[in-house]
Amino acid sequence: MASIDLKTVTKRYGDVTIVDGISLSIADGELVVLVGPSGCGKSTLLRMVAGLLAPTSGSIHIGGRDVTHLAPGDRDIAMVFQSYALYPHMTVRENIAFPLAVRRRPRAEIDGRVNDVADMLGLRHLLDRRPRDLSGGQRQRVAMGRAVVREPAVFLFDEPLSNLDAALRTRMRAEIAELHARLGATMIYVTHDQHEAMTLADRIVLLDKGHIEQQGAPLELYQRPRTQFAGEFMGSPSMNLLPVDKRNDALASPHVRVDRGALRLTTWEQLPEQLVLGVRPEAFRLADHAGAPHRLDVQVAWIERTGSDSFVHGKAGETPVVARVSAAEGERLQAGGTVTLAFETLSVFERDSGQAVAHC
Amino acid sequence: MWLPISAARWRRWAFLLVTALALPAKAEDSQEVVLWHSYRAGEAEALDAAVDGFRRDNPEIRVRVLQVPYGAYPQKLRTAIPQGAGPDLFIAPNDHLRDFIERELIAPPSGVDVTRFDPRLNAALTLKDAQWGYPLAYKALVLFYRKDMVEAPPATTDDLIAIARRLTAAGRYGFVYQAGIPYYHAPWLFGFGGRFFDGETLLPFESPAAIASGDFLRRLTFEEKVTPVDVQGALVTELFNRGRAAMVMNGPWFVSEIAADVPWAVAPLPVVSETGLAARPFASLDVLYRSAKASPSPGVRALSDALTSDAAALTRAKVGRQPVANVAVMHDPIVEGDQLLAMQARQLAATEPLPTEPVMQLAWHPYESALRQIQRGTKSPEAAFREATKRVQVLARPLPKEASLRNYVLAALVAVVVGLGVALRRMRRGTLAEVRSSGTAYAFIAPAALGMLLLVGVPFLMGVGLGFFEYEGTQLRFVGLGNFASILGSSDYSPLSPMSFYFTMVVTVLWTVSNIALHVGLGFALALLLQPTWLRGRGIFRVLLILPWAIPNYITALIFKGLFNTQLGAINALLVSVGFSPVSWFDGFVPAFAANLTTNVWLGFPFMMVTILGALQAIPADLYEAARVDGAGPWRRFTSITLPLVGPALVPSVVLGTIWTFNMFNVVFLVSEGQPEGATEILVTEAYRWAFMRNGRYGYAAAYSLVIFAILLLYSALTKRLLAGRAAAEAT
Amino acid sequence: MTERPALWVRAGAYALLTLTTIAVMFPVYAVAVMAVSRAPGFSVVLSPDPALFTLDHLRKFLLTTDSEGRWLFGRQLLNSIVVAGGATALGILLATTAAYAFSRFRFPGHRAGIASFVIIQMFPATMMIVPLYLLLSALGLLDTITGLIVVYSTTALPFCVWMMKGYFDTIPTDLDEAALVDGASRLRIFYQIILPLARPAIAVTALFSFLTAWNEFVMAATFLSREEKFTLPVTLFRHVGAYGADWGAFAAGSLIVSIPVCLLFFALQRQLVGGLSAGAVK
Repeated sequence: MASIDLKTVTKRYGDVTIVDGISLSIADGELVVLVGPSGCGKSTLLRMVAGLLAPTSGSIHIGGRDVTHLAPGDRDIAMVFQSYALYPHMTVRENIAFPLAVRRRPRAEIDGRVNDVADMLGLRHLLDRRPRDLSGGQRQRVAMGRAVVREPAVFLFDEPLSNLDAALRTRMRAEIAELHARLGATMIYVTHDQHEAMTLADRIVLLDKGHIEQQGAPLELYQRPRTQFAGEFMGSPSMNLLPVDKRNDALASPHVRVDRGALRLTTWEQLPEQLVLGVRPEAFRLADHAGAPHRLDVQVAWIERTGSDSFVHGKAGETPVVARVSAAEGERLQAGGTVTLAFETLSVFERDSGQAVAHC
Repeated sequence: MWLPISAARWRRWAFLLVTALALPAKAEDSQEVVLWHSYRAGEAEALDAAVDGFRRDNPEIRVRVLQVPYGAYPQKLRTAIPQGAGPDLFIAPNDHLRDFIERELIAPPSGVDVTRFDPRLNAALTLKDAQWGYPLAYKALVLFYRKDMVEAPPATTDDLIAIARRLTAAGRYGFVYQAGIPYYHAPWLFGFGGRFFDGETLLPFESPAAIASGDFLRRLTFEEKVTPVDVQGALVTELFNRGRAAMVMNGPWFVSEIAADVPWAVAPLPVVSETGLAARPFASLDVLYRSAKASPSPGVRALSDALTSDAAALTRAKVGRQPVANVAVMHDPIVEGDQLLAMQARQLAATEPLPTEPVMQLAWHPYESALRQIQRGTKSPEAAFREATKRVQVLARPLPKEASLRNYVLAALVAVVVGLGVALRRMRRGTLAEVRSSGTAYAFIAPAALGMLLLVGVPFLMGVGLGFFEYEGTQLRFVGLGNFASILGSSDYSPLSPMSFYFTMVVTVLWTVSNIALHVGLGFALALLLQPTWLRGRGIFRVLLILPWAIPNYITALIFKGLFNTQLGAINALLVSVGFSPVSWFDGFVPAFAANLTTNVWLGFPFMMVTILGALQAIPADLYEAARVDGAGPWRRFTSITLPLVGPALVPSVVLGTIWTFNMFNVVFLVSEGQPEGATEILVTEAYRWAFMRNGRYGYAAAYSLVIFAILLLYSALTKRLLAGRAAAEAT
Repeated sequence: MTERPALWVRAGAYALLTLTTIAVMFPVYAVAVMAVSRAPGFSVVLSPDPALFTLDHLRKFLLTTDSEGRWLFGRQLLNSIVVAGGATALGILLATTAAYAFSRFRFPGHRAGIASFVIIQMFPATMMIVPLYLLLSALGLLDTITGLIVVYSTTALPFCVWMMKGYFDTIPTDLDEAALVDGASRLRIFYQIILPLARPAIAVTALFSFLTAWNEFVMAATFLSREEKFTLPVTLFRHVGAYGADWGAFAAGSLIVSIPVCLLFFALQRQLVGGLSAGAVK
């Protein structure tokens, strides 16, 4: 069990900076998800924690110990790879036993622990198969087994679920969460999937272009994005971004109007002139509902009905808009028509810098 | 891969291995005498018998006999003796005598009373007031004839032609010998009053007598056609044994090849009718030499004495049927009763000593070319011999002038300093840190790098260095760029002459390109044929088609040489059976080149085929399915999917194949031997000839090799650039 | 392409393959006929005569003894096996380690290293013999099996390194990294993870090294000066002499010398197809 401390960790290749002076502290037993678009540096950061890459500068501490120059095997970590990286020529048993065999543990101990892990992950009947004879989910479990068997202080996951189909992904996510709960180990989990990040994380660290864009509890990131990028990245479908201008009494464009009074902002005077409103799809209602202060006119292009909900895809002028409404509401809409949507919660970003100025 | 071998068996193997590896490198034993020879068959048996006798009589002296394969013998002597790793005594012919003396390979032997040998043979080995070896046996050409075809042997050349004409018919020849080889032409040259070497001027090839001998050869082969052309030793035997040759001019070794049921007899060579002189063959000698590094120890002297004793000579005469050099044995009743040996002794009276001048070593090959052209009637004797003289002059060109070593060393130093400076500048900052952090990588590379550096790098550098030197006797002399200037300057001959470096280079490029094209083409075709899943017996076909790869290429080359033989070869027989006329494969550039090419294609296509097979298997089947859905026909699928996907996989193989083919020594050297007139020679075989067959011009050969290296380097740099360019074009 | 093409296409393919195979096999057949015929030379090839059948050539090659009465073939077969086997083992060791480094690490000298492995073999081998002789002499390895093994192990090395690197490149580096995290050393990763996965390429390397060492003649004949140390090709070439050759014995020897390599090819041909080109395709 260990905490992790990254101190101004930087990775450069020639003139290209991949990770730009990131400092991050992870508490013992915390599950931190590194999330961000591809190329943001999250995998590089994880590999530096693992010891597979050496940082150009900065230091890495695990459990209070400076491991910056230690070999991966000496860091008391385990890692699950996107490709699972199962040794193709070894059986499941040998794969799981490998980290122990490398450390020359006694035969009996290895057997016992491999069996325990196999039971825990439901791999008992697969122990003598080879990876190529397993399904994707089973391989994933073996990879986890190989990580778990060593009882490391830290688990590192590098997009472990991205090669699985949707249903399996949901199940494995649950299993990882359960594993975390059971082992109480420190975990760093890298994904580009914000949904995974939301559901798994104790804390999400959102990376972009080599630096930390925002970090915090999942809901905090979701509800109070510090930047337009954070707001847009978290949540699916994405947050709607509606450019508006500040007028005397409202934030408005030809299609949207947010009244000053309904905003109840104490900082109205400090708001810049050009703004972007960020509205989550689920924040919309059809305007005939009472009590929704803000309004948006949308030209409906098509309606995506998932059964439980309906997603209204359309345009407000040139701005694409997606709104989630209830199935019943969705029934009343038609493609080609115009509808007025009402909403209550929103974020306000400065248009030039993308910085959030208010969350209402 | 990992064989299931039990532990006990492992131990046994390990033991065997250790004992095999741990044999002592050298047993230093002053009483050990090492004797090398390249005898085979009966002659080797006779020598062994003589050595066995010596061992019995001198149990305190250990004799170690080594039979060195003839192909490696001269080179091995030249390399080993200066290193002190050679024999104490060795048996070799006398044609290299002067070369041996100049290289300080031999010392005058001692311990034997030379009066036991025929004085004529002693004289042939005496130079600068010393006798440089003991004659063991001599060999002279004589006339063999079939008694069932020839009643009385011819006394004159006119007789010879008359008899031969009478006995010549379809598929049968009156008189057969290896007419293209100077050794076999010599009797005529001397019979017409000519000489090879007159001491002062170079090779009087063009004397009236020489030309008259050429006319005679032309008459035999081209006009009367009583003698076949393009004859090799095996053919002579074949024709004689099958009654398709009535008379044969050959040496004493021929007797072991005559079939038991053939009634044969020997006669001296006839008198040349035009001059009234006897046709005088060379007397070539088997000589016992003492290595210059061997001390004349009692053991060496005793063995010399024993091997040359009358008793040993008698054994050799009886067992090996050698015409031995001992006077007493020549008159032994057993020898006199042997018609072959008696006739050899008689012929000896009318022989010429084999010329041992170094320049003669250069002359054989051009002279051979001239004889071949005369036989075929493609050139008059005058023209052919004039050409030969010119070629000898070119080959015997003087060594480059000595150059100042100091200037070159200075230039080299400047180059090194500049090179280091550039390298340091190009090194990125942090390179040193990278070096330090790459310890593991270097550790992994170290064994291979060390091996390559030591066993390839060091010899390579020695070769490079040697290119700037030339041997003069045993002395290395610095000649700077002289060798390169001589090669690239092409000053002695036109660039269009086969002697020119540029001609050879063009041939080499042509050779490489046509080989690679055919390797890839044939390999591709066969790989495609082997690809379909409905094909039964795929495994068998594949195995059989890979087979040529497994067979050592020198075996293949020698076999193909036989198959391409004009008279006996299976390929001509095949041509004749389908109605074509036979081809003289090695008389023209095109057929000779084609013969080489065929051999090397046979050798080389399996490698490409296997590479392509692998690449084909790696193409996903759904690509073809998609193309089929898109309406692409078989040809379209081939050009749009197969070719572009297999192509990149082929690049490394093609690059490697090019390098290998460019330097494919064995095929050219053994199949066409450069014929005709050195036109099919490629750069490596030229380099080899300079090093080992033209008086050991090692420096010149090293320079030649360096030029080859430079050409290949240029080639690989070009392909790399081309590929990089293409990759970049594809990326944009 | 699972469906079968028309009958005439299939028949054509079979005919073409059969014809080529016959043409390819012809020289092999010629050697075989000469090896078991009493007549000298090449003429027997086209008209093999059962009356001329003999096992003398084979017997001669197999049963020759040296001047001290020792059975040479057995000894020299063992030499050839030890030399070729040793060169193969050493060659695999050198090729795989170097190729692993070239495939997995980027280090100063990486590109130059790969390039030099290719370039170095452009210098004609015939010119290397004399320097190698001097070198072995200096190392005290002249006239030893060990010396020959060492020399042979580097002959095929450039090709083997190049090919092995290509193959290693197709093995995902994830495996190395996973094993690193699991605590394995680079050496352990090399022999426990990478080598077992590279078997086809190792088979090709083995085949190449063995082939080169087994068939080599000139260096063996030059470096070895004891009959009991000769390898089989040296013995084979004894039958080609100054005044003609004993073609029957030479053919018999060729046949015997070629058999082990052919068997090895048969055994490894499957790996050969995958191993040779895998690196280049992906």
